[in-house]
Amino acid sequence: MEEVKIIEYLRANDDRKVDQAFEFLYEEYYPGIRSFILQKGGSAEDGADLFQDVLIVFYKKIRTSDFVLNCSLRTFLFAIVKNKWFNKVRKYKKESLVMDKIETEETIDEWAYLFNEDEDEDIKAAAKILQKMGGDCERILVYAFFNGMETSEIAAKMGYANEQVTRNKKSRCLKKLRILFRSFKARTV
Amino acid sequence: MPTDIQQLTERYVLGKMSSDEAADFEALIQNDDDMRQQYEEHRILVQGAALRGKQLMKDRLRVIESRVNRSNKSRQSKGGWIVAILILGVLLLLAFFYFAKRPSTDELFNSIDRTYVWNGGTRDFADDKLIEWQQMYRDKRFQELLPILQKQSEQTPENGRLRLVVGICQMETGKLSDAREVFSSLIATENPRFSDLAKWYTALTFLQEDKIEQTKKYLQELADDPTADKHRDALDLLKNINHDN
Repeated sequence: MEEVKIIEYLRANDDRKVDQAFEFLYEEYYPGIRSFILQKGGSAEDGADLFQDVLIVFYKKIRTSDFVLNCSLRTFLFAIVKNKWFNKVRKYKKESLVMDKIETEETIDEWAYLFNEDEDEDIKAAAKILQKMGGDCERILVYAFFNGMETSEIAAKMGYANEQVTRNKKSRCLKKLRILFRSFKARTV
Repeated sequence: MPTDIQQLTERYVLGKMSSDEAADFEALIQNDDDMRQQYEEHRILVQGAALRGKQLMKDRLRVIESRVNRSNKSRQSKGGWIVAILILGVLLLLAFFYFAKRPSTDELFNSIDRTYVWNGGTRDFADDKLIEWQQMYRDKRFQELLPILQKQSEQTPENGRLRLVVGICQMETGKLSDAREVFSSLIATENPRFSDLAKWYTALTFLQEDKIEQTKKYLQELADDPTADKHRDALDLLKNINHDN
């Protein structure tokens, strides 16, 4: 599968295409990345976790409208892997390591918002509450805030008549989530 | 909560703002406690939903990973079978060509020039008898000749030439052990006139019995001695046996 095709598939809001692209990435890059982690003293489990994280970062990054892949996909993925792995090591060793610069104008460090793994307890609680809410609310908010879908895309995905219906639904879901979250906070304080 | 702060928060958290917009927004929430509080709460909800999306995506990736692993294993297993079958095929092909090309010991034996000539005279028996027997020998009438010569040889056991001819007649009539016994006695005399030939014919008796190692042993002795009678023939036969020409 060509790189352009992979990006096209991951940008599509079609689960089958997204899965096909991920399957290709697993077949093509997972063995090499797992070997890299094993060479660096990580475990096979570390390799599996890290590759998942890398795919998620990649997925989220390419779904931002301004993203352009200025290097080979391999270079790009390995740069993310190295960054994430050294971050993990640094967390334990407390030492500063020079990050690999990706061959684009920006560096991986500028994508800090994508690497934010140290979600605080409140964020974890909000995720848990959303999981419990389930149903359409969970789907709409995940589409909006994880997949980065526009309202029109969510409407198409959910089968809603128009964008306004989607906006109303999303607003109601956020309201419900906020109420449940406040209630959770009130109980824990 | 005003919608605009929600929308700004979402765009900020999702990295959809330009750097200028982001700086303005940061200044806005920095200077307004109420706004900052609203931003903080909404950020948590947005990031909570993003985290939930990440968790769902991880579950999905785990399924994909195991599907890919299963498919790779199955492909490797199929690939393994294909490789095994290919190797087996190549081996069978090689074996076929090897055995098809390699001559049998019968073919080797029959390919050797066995034109027998018994020349010269002897004082041990009358010339007319000798001429008759020599003719029979050339005509390969071994069966007929053997009892006559055996009887004569008993009377003149020191006649090495006669013993050699007896041995050859035995070999040609299939009495291979008897022939070897005769040749062995000639080898023991260490008379190079007959011992080299005796080694050569001993090798041929073993060849007829498919006893390759013994055949090679006698041929090698001749091959190792460039002055030996049948040295060149021994080299050629060894080559054919070893199938390396």
